[in-house]
Amino acid sequence: MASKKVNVIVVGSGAGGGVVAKELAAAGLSVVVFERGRMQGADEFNHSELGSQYSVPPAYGPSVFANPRTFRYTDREVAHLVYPGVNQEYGKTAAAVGGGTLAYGGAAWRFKKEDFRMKSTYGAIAGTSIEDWPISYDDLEPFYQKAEYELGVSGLAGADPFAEPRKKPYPLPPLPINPQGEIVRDAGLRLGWHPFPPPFAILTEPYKGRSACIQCVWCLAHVCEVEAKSGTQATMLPLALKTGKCELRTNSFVTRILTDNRGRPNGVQYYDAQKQGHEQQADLIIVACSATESARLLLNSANEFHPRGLGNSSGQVGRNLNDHTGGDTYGLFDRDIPHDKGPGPSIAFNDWNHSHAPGIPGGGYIYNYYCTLPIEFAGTRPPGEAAWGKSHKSFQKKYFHRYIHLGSNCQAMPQEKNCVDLDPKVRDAWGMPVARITHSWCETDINIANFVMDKGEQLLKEAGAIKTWRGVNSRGGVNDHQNGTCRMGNDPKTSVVNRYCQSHDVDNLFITDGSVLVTDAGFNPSLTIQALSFWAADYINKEWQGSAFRNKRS
Amino acid sequence: MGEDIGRRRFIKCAAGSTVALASMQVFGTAADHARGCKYFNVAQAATVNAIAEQIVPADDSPGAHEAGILFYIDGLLNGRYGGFYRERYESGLKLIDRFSRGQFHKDFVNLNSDQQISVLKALESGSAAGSEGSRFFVLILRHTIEGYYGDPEHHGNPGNASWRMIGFEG
Repeated sequence: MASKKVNVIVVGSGAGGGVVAKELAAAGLSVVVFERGRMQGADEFNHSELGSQYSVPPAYGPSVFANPRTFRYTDREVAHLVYPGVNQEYGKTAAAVGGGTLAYGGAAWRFKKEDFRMKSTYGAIAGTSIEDWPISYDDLEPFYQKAEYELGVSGLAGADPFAEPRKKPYPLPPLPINPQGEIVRDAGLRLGWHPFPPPFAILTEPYKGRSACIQCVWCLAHVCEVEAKSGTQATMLPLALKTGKCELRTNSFVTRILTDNRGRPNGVQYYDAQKQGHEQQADLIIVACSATESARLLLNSANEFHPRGLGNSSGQVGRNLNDHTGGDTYGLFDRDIPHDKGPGPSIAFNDWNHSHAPGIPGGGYIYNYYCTLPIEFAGTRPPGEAAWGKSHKSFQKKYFHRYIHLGSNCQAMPQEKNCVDLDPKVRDAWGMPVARITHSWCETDINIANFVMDKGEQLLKEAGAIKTWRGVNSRGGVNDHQNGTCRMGNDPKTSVVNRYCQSHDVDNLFITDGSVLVTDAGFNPSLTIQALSFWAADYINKEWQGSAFRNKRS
Repeated sequence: MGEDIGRRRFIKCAAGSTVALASMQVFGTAADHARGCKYFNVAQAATVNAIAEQIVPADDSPGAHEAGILFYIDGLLNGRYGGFYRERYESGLKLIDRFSRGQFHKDFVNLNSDQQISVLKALESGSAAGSEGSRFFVLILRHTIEGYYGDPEHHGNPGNASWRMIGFEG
């Protein structure tokens, strides 16, 4: 069954897909957005750790039965089934309208100049595929700005002395500082560090018809009950739909990108909620369904014209799968520190992001974490403390309000052998091969995380912590900051898309999600994914005419 | 339906402080527990309840038994994602009794508190039954903690008892 042909298909309604859909629909193109999940209303919000994206199974999908994946640390192992939330090696990214931005924490960072020039800055690193981006911070600056203003980002321009220049301040003032932030700020100042309020896609004042954050504690991994978080389901998609040019097809799982009899993409095959198969034709295909699923979709779209997968003449689709290591540290105090004012993060430091310490390419920011919740805290204990029993319960009572958690997202090195390919045996509910994930950290990744955690513990001690400890990184695994499987580059032999997120192989195929990130920076990726999506949409709107690009590339 | 009512009544009776401790004696038998369960049989219910109570024991605030963690776990196994857990509980509970009998010649529920704790520590460390044992312990530990410290709607935290205990206002 085929529907009426449209100009553009966008696969995935998350950070990148939502932006592109809105930009292209607003420019007058007809757009269909496919989303495998459903629309979650803000009224479905609940004050519960058992109904969040971090609960088991995750509240906002994907369905653990319909969408399994397999995982292995290295290609010497046989991959085993992993289910989001159930296994730690893979999880968390929601499958719902808004994608990862539906229940995200809203951190809205711009990358630093060095993040676009990792190889030039730090040199080649053995065993890694560290590389420069084909674009610079200056190229992206206007689109970072556009993203901040269109979405609604709060922050304080000039407060972070390590931040790159910006042409305009943030559209909204920063979140207010909370007691934990005050303690961490003062300790940082005593150490000679540079505290500042971190930027968030969380409204601090009413903006574009949405209301401001009410500072509840149920933020990270929850849908915001007042829609103060600027996920695409609350921002871009409503605007896209309002144009009358965009249709959002939920519960619709795209299994293959189709091509014409010369190998040019011309539509998709998808299944609706009743598992009925359909086809949708379009001139332009935008793939934006996360680093794992975008790579899988391209590989599952192999045909006689694209035997290694669509857009994969380089063999790079699925390679360089990357994510952040954790750099969390924890401290106990001998006095109460209220943490009832959400979302929690109110002070950050970039002193250890590109500090150029020997052997540390990149680094990570440090910030006071989201408000501590009871189940989360019950699972957080210093080494040697009981995980259960009388003393566990006493600890829970004594320290729940005498505790500071510092978070970080530490840059990890891309490695070719970390990848997504198609599992040779396991199929999903639609009969399609599932993503087989191969991922493990390299020594440099662990060194960076340890470096940042040393700094975190130093900060907590300065703040008066009577005991500090650090998180333990697993051997590998990818979560909600997954990236790198369709990297951008100038050379079609070594990259999947060009600087405009456009496939090197077929000019009417774009990828606008974390897949295109060349390196992952010590920052949450969503604002960069969205800036890239505004940048790609801008290119399409300027160059697309009728049903082809104005200047055909050779 | 009838089971639902029984379950609610149990929790209602079990909530509160000194009255609840007294009522524990009345409602604390394996048979009474099993009546509220949809998945576990009588013996399994008693074992799960005893394990959970060691994980979160009663002190001046309710323990797992009083909080109804058994019913939280039973609900999980009977629910949409129960398929993930049922087999692991079936084999894990057998494994615990096997180890308890080997060590103390009694099933887990009939051990004294110190013996129960030593069995669970052996299970946790892997010395009782290797990685299968420790994986099961991690699972029932997680479920107990989730139920006990989770939101009241999920029936493991009646009257916000654990939240009040730690001063969490939600």
